[in-house]
Amino acid sequence: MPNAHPLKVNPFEDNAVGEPRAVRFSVAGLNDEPLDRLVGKFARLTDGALPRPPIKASTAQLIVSPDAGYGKSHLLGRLFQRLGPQATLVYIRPFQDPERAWSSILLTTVQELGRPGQNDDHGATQLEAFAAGVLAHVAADFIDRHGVRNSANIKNELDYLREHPLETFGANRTNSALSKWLQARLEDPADMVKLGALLRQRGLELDGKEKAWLKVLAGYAFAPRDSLSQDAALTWLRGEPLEQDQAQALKLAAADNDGGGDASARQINDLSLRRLRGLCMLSSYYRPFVFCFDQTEFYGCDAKLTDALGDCAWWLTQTMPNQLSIVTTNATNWSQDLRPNIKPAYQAQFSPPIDLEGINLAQATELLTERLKEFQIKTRMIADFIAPQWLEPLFVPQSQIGVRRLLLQAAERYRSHDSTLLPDPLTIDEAFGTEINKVRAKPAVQQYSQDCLMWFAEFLVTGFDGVKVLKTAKRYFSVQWEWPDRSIYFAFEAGHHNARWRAIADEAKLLASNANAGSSIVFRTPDLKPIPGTNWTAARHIIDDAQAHGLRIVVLTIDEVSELHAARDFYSNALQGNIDFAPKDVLKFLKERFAPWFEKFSRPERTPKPKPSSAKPVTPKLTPSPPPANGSQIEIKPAQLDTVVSYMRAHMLVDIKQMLDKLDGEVSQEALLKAVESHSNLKAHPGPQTIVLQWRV
Amino acid sequence: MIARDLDQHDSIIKALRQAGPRGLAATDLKKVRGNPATLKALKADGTIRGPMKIGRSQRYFVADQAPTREQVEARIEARLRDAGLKLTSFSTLEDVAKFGPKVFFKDALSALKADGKIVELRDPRKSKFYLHREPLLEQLRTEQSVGEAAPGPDTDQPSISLDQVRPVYEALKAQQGGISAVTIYDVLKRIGGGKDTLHRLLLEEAKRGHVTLHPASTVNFSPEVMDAGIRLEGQPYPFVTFVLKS
Repeated sequence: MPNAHPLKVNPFEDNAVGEPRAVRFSVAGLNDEPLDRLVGKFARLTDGALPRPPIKASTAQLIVSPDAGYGKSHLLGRLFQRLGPQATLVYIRPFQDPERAWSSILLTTVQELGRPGQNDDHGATQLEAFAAGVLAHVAADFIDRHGVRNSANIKNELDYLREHPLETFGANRTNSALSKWLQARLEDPADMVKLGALLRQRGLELDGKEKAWLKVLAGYAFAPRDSLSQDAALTWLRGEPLEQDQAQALKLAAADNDGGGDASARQINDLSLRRLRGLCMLSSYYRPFVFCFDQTEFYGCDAKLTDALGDCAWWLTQTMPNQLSIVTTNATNWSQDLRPNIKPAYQAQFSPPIDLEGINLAQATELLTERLKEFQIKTRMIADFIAPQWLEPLFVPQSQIGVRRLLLQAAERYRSHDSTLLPDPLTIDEAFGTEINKVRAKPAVQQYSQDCLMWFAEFLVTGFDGVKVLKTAKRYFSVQWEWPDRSIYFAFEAGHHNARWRAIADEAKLLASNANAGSSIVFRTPDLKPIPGTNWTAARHIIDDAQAHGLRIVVLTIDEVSELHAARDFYSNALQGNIDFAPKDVLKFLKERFAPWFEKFSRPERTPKPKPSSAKPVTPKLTPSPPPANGSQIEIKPAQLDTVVSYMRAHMLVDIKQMLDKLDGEVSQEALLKAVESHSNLKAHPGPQTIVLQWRV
Repeated sequence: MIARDLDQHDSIIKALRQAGPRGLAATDLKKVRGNPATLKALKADGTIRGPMKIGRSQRYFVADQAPTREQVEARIEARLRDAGLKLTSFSTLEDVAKFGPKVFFKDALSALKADGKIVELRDPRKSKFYLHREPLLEQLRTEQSVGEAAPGPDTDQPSISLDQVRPVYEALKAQQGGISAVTIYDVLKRIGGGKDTLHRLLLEEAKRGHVTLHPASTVNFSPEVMDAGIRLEGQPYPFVTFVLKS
């Protein structure tokens, strides 16, 4: 293959879908039937005009691949494209703790709600669309029933409101009259009662929290982005307790601030389940939910975790209306590892298997051609590349093969034509480097993940220095690393409520008083608020004191988050057969790679009691961060994006470092990657050393 | 106005309740329903179900008397269980299920197959026949108890056909909840033929597009299962499982 560009990217290297929103192209006819079945199941949920009575969920749809690499995640991507703005789409990676499955699913759901809608939403997030949609129908119902004497006269206006909620209530609304009117209704106790009654009359069961839900959604929809009110709404949705100023911003009653500051893991999990059910109930008023449980091979390593997946399917099917749950699996993983560990009653909550098919010769030709075209390879060269004497033997002895096998073979052929490309196979180190850059290239997956942190603390560490990993019955510090002479405890907390943190600090102090006392550690990520909060006084003292007794609040850098998230993805990819390394080899590699982390966190550390003014969390530097450009921005400006687009259009493939230089170091790598992720013509190709940006034709 | 609507509600529900599980055809219901909005409202609030296409007519039912897919499934299962090892044709099952909409019949059949409760077989003319899993498994257990054949090296084994493999395959598929990929090892154990003979058949049928072969490399199989797989030059892993297309 002629060397079209000085920068080398193999068009076939990208052979696994890590994220369904990344899917752009699909071969005609391939796995259309499974897709149509999912779309058909979803269509049940949109039967009738909005708002609808709650529609009972179907069984969780089980998408089965006969082997690894047949396009499970790709199918989800196609479903996302196909459903587009009809659904609120949630992609769920495996949860790590069977007892906290719902808090993990809820956290993921809220994070996914923060992502832009699939299309047609004018850049609004799914939550903006959801909140505006629900409120629009609630407002229209209210006007219809209570608002005006003869609502028939304004039927057209009400219809418009119902059909265009984002234009009326979205962040880019041109007229705020109606949103102000609705806010006034929400502040009027008498009208609030009527609004709550409207929800109940539609058959929505919200555990008496109708008013709270409306206030929270309004608090999110009508407030400026990143305001206190939006932050409070997100906090409430995550089932976390609200600080006083947050509750005031939403004008919530004390009883509706139900995330207890000292709630146990089980209570938090129960509340998370109720929040999810509330979201599903409310989607009677707008877009039904689609929950996609992917990478399920991960559950196979733990029988309890597998049964918890079955339990989740039961709760989703039996108690959460207006949603379609989808579970993907490899056939043999399901029949050998997963199904035997799921109780029969839970097995019945999964649909009959929906089988994926392999790609055939004609479809293979189409896929390979499309990939090469994206790289502006000339037609004659494409014809040479997909020559029948090379392609046809791949379909012996069978007429269908897995898509990944085809792409692997194509990548090898491409490499054989261009010796300047990286040799194959990649070393495990290089493959992991690529995985880290994949996470770096997707800012959306760098958010706090309790599952990743638990995986690190409960699973990855096993075998290190004779450690005994125990699950404790403690309220917060649920994982313990035990040695004869010391113990290290871990809590997993994404919230920022001072009462919760006081309780965590108190528990840390109590643990410190034990005979073989060690440290207690809580990890935080850059997307979370700093602990202690800026206005905390009493809580700050308590936390300071606990830190002096071994509490460590460890704020991971973006690089560390990327490395940790990449590690779990890397292992998950090995379990799914997405990479050419055995899971045991990957695990061994990761254990060695993370040995400095284990070493660092396995030693008790007493922080000298900090002065109140200098109370800052510990930030370990385990890996070198790329030098942040001085004053580099978090968001790229329109003019800078124009520069990126014109430069990329001219050069087609550009190393990200070169692009950052071109922007005079004014834009951070994170901001640039965020812009790339949301631009339809730009694609990031993560490699072991760097990320290459591509202009897609 | 409101009183008239309530009267219409009552008369529709009364007529449908009198009709029972047979329901009322849309044409019969027209005689009692009056305002179309009333019928719409009753459908919307879930009091009545319909229209469901049953036979040639569109029928309505009171919600608790409407046919359900579960009822259709139960009738099919009962009929097949009673039939034992005797094959039951597709059209016979259609008759069994004709009290409900056709779509329920198709869904029920798919669900029963996928759940592994029933097995679908085809004769050379592609006509479909059905068996319940219980009599089939009973038969297999009996055969196994006579002498379980472990997969071994091929001597001059007689050839086997896909028709011999299919019932065993379907029973295994049923056992694993409808998952289509079954191991070559399990099939070999049950049909008792030589390994090479089965391999030849599977490769032949794979060429014809009736079978797909898979390495299933994401699961740790025992050495026996791996040994029973098909090893081909140029393939990094042996094909350990296969899917038989219906």
